[in-house]
Amino acid sequence: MVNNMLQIIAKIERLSDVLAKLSALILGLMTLLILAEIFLWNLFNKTTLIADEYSAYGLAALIFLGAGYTLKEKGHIRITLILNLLPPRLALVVELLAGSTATLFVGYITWQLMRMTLSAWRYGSTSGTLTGTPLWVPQALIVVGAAVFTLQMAVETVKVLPFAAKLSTQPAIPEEP
Amino acid sequence: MDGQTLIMCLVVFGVLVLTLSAGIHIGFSLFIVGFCGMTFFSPLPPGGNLASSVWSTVNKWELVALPLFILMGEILFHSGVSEKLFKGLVPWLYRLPGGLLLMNIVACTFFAAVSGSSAATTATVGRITLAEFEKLGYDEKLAIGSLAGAGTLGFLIPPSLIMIVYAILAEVSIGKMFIAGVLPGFLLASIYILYIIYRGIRDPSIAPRMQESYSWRERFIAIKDLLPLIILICMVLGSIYAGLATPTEAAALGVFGASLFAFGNRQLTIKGLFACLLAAVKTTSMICLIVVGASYLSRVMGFLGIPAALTQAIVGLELSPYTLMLMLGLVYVVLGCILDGFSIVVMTLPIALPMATASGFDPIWFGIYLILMVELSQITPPVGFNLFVIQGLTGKPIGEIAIYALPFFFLMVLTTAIITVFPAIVLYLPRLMSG
Repeated sequence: MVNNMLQIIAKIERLSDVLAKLSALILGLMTLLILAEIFLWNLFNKTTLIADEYSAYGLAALIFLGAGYTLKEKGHIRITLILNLLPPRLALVVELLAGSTATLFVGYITWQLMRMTLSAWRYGSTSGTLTGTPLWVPQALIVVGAAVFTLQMAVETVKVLPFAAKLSTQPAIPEEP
Repeated sequence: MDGQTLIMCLVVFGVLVLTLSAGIHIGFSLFIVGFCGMTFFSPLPPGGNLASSVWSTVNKWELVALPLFILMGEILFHSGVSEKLFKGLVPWLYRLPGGLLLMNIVACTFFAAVSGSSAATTATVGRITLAEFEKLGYDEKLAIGSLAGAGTLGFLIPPSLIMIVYAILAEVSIGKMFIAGVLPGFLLASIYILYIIYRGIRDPSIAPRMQESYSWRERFIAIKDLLPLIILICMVLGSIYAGLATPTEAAALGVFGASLFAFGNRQLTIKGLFACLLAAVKTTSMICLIVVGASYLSRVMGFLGIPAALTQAIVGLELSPYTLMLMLGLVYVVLGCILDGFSIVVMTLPIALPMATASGFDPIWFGIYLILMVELSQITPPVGFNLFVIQGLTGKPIGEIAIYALPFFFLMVLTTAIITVFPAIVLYLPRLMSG
């Protein structure tokens, strides 16, 4: 049972890692796209037409695709000051409650994002720009990211429990840019 | 303020404190507060505008500047720039009173002009200066304190990640925000420099003389070590100021320039570049989660009329503008002790900005004021990110570093007072810009 659990956790974490690598790739491509636009525009007076629009999609995608990994690496900021002051048992209960609430809430956000994407798909909404990109495409990337984020949030909550001590632990202080 | 509004404010504030202290990530705390606000006080379904709010916040061309500036900073951090800065600046600074302690200030000012983050500025400069200072027998208190203080310039001198976030939420131009930070940044740096020179004159033993000496010829040769950085600064900030590039485009050029520099120095590999991309994704995701939560909450609060009611209540007190800023300042110092800079900006902005504009302050000026408040928060314990960075570099306890940084805390307060009395220091340059 515990071993199964640990395996599932490991799988979800690997998924978060894969999506983060995808995000890194997206960020690299966004940079190249904007640079290409700048050079084409200034040297040949031509435009890619898509640089502004697609780099914004890229940003939207990478925020969510990278969110699970960021959570795993303790990159998202939270206040642990008060938790540290509580007696350990109470802190554990509070952390479990807080983690469950957060998981439910990310799940809820994911569901809302999915509804938005589905309706964009159903009604064939497009970007309203020259490219006429169907909006459900970039939105679907966000939904995938948010879904894995939900799973990772559940994992982080479960990790509070003592049995998860077998997993590697990371320092509690978040890194700031 | 009527009873209904008061209850609304109390519930919203209560839920915020509860979720934050329970250790829920800040972005989600803001979401949950917004959600509760909609559920309890609005006839509309709470989820109705949630997804569209998220989508319109993240699908934003202006916000693309954020990951690009983060990436630029990451690449520079791995580019060997600290060594170059040190080598280029030593011949210019070593003879002044206070000696190389000035290096902390000048190097931070330089690096802040290519980096958007205070922690990165502190780390980049500190990892080379602190070791050198120890070798030379410099006064440790002043060495650490000045690094903590000067590192905060990363947020005030453009490009600045916090300014991007502020500009997007306050709906002002990112370019103008950037340019508005230039003069206050120089002012703060100059005040730090004068303070260190004063300390150096009063007690020369804080900075023992170096053995080496440099001729003027060597000084000018040393500039070549600074040149890549100077070119990068002109390229990024110059193109924004001249209106040649949007901040996003300037950031992309900055990434390009930084990569050339890093590869040219043989400090970066393709694998290293990918690590920089991954680190940038992490930071972007962290900041944007907070921004997304804040935008939703801000929308809900506007919908419920909370900022308007609070602004009205404050205006009813007929405080003078200076008193208002003083009171806000006190609140920010307290908040700064427990929250990080981004959270402070996004949480307080929906309420504080309408108050400030109602009292006649320009939104760009208020942005710079807020950035200075964030800088204070970087060096106040127990949560201050510059303190964490320096703790990482020196292994000293947070409290001790904070005490060393205290004089610089007061110099920042002084700077805030100066820009409050003379707002033109902030607003002169942005008003010269076109558009």
